[in-house]
Amino acid sequence: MTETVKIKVDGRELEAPKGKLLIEVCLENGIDIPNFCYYPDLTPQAACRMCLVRIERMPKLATSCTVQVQDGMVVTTQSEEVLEARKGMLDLILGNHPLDCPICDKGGQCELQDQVFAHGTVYGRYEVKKNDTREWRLSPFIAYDPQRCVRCYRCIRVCDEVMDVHALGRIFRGAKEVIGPYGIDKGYSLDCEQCGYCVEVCPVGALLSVDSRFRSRPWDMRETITTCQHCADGCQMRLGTRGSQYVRVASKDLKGINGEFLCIKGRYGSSYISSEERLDNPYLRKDGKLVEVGWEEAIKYVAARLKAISAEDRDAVAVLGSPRLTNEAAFALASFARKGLKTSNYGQIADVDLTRFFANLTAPLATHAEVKKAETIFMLGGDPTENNPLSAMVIRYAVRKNGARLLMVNSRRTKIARRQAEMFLHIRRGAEPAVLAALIDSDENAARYAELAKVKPEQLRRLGKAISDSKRLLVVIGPEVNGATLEVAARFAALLKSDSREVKYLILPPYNNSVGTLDMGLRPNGHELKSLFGTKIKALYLAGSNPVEQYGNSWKEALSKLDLLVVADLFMTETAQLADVVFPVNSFAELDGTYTNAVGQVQRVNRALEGTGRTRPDWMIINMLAKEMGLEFGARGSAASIFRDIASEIPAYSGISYDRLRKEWAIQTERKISTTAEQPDALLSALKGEIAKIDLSLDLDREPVRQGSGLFRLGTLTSRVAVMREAFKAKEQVEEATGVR
Amino acid sequence: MFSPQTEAKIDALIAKYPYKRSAILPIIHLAQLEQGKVTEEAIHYIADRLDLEPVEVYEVVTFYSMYFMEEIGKYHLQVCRTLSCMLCGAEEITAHLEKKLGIKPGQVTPDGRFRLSEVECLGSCATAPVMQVNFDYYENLTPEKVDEILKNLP
Ligand code: SF4
Ligand code: SF4
Ligand code: SF4
Ligand code: FES
Ligand code: FES
Repeated sequence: MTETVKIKVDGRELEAPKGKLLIEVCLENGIDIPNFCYYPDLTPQAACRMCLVRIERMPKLATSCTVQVQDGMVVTTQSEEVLEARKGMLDLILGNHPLDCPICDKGGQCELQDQVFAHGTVYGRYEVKKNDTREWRLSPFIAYDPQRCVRCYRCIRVCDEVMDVHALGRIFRGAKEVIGPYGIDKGYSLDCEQCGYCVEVCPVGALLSVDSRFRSRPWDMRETITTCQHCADGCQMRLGTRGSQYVRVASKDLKGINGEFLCIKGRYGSSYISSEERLDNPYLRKDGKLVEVGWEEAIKYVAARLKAISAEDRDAVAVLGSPRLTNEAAFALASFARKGLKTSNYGQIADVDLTRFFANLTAPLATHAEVKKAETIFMLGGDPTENNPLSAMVIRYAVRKNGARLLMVNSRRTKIARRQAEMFLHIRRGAEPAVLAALIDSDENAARYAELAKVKPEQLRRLGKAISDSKRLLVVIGPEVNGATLEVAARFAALLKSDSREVKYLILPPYNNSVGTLDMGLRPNGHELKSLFGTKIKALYLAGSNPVEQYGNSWKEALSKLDLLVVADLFMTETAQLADVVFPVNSFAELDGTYTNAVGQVQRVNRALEGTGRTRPDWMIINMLAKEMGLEFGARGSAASIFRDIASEIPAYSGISYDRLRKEWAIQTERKISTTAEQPDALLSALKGEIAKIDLSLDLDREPVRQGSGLFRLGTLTSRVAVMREAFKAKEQVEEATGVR
Repeated sequence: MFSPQTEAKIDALIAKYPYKRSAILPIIHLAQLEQGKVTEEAIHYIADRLDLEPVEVYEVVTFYSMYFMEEIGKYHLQVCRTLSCMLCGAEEITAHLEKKLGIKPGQVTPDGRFRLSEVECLGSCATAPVMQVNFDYYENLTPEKVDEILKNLP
């Protein structure tokens, strides 16, 4: 435990852990200290000198963002002297500031405005002409106006320290200094993850998001806190809307699981909700062509066809959801299939079968906050930098802030492997089961496993030793770990946990609600059911999935064998184009609901937009169909009431309610942890089959994973995001033309 | 990337400091000396050698006024413009050079022979006005003396 010290601030006695930054102690105790360059968790910079305070027995005013509290410190934060000094700093900052607040996107949410307002008149002692500089377009996503910049370097530090991208620097010097990428004056743009974190931390309107520039003033839009619908990390974000339109996503002052972090998809990947391409009416195929029809006609048609097909054989109707649906939609879909249609053919299309993981779980899931505090991290596969960016951020945090040991096993040279890993076992693709077996089996077989994985036996031994040396172990399992290997990975913790060692898991599934939809009863059996299309299965109701785009021709062919294909989606996707009926659904912005993220936390999706009134939430379409078919499955009239059913029927969700979620934001579901003692031999024999599948002819994949290979990949949603499509389609074309990736 | 001699000097500089990055300033000078300017290839190479990001080397190159990413010119005429020199006629010297060479400070003559710069105190105030040509000082200047100096440059 750190020692507690007593300090006195403006006459108030405060207690704080010794060594904590003075500014943090003050802010936490409600003593306001102005600041620009201070930002939680970044290294102190002391560039702006707005946080000056008087500390007794110090010769000069001190920057409270760099001073660590000591016992007996006596501090004055409000005095003529201090205020004058701060005003002087504001004067310097305003010397070159254009004061173009009336056309600044940040106006009303600007820390400089706030400070000038709070300090009253500044002197305006600079009479020379202001430094006139142009705006730079740093990338298709990020613009920079040097005149507004207060040179606090939050942007550079957040990119260096939190993102580990190091894309920004201070270019030139003195009054000419600008923030920018390498070669900014030569026309090079930001070669980075385009996460926009630098934009978020910028206290003023210097760094701005291109997609929302000049679209709305902060007070002129409505901000709704909701959950990102892209990956399974489940970041919280502020969705800004104006009238019926998307404006922007921001994360300022958020206190959710991600703080102010968002990745490119979270920050810039939601404008599709206002895309022109959104479906607005149901479509029905007439004379071979999909034509717009009213809801009544579409529902009647589907109900009649489903009824007829189901009457012959209940299992001839299949229902498939997607890992993108809300829990409420997935629950309604599963109930409709199971209790309404009484078909056994329902589930979802997904690549990783997490059911095997959860059924065999021997240790709890760690939250992102717990990952930050991890001591030893063992990663078996996975590339969170590209696919689960918040997870990557917290893993980096654990290494950077707490010196966590990162032990990485991966078939690809991922960025984390190259930069954060203390130990990196670069293995043959598909050799994860061999590594797992080596960790379980006795040492005499090390050489064989090493050969299978194409590593040295010594490396496997060192990995085993580092794991057994750990006190708090986090086991991270990538999405390439599947089948029996995944099951063994879930049972693996049983061999490791002890009174002196705590073990937790982190998984990296690809979609926002991979875990929740599974909990709701949508098993990942889509690919199996596909083989029955046209034979056993005649009709398919497909919600929120675009397998033709994702998996290509095999799905196209299979779907064409069906007598009836009904698709519920936002767009006329490649899959929807094959359908007999297409239902237009509400986007996550037009919905109430919940998602369950990869660490099992339930978080709210809050309705931000009314929608056109012609689209429907998935669960409502199900209700309409069931009603028309005369089926009873326990339909509910609102997302909130569906969630009450979820809480009462699914044990992990019991006790969770919208009310509690409003207050607590993220509530972790409780997973069943198996307590049976595991035998190494049983695990080893479970791995046998998987080990036999390792392709020994494969060489190591030596290419480093390219920045953006996952982040910039366009899918059904992101290809309808204008900035992303323009930025990355062009890039893909260049790559295709030149063959350079 | 560089001549064996320069590479050897770079190796020695890197070995000299407890942190590699500390060697950045002299290494950029070496690169500039050999290639006549700081090239982008050099920046990437230096970043690589010092475990830095290219933008971090770029920051340093653009910060200091004695590094050039464009051609320096065969002779870099650096006229001091700080107080003592200014009082003793530095402005006249600069004006004379501007007229004679047809360029302004910051520019290079079309034949690449001369670059004209105004610099801050060269630490030779007692012999003001002063001009530094590449690494050599010329003192107590007059326009006539300047003509003489330029004429005698090889
Ligand atoms: S967008 Fe993200 S990665 Fe790019 S410069 Fe800003 S902080 Fe760095
Ligand atoms: S761009 Fe913004 S965050 Fe970066 S230094 Fe300037 S004011 Fe600070
Ligand atoms: S990390 Fe995942 S949840 Fe967070 S913003 Fe990015 S895509 Fe969304
Ligand atoms: S906040 Fe302390 S100097 Fe900027
Ligand atoms: S002022 Fe010119 S050398 Fe000092």
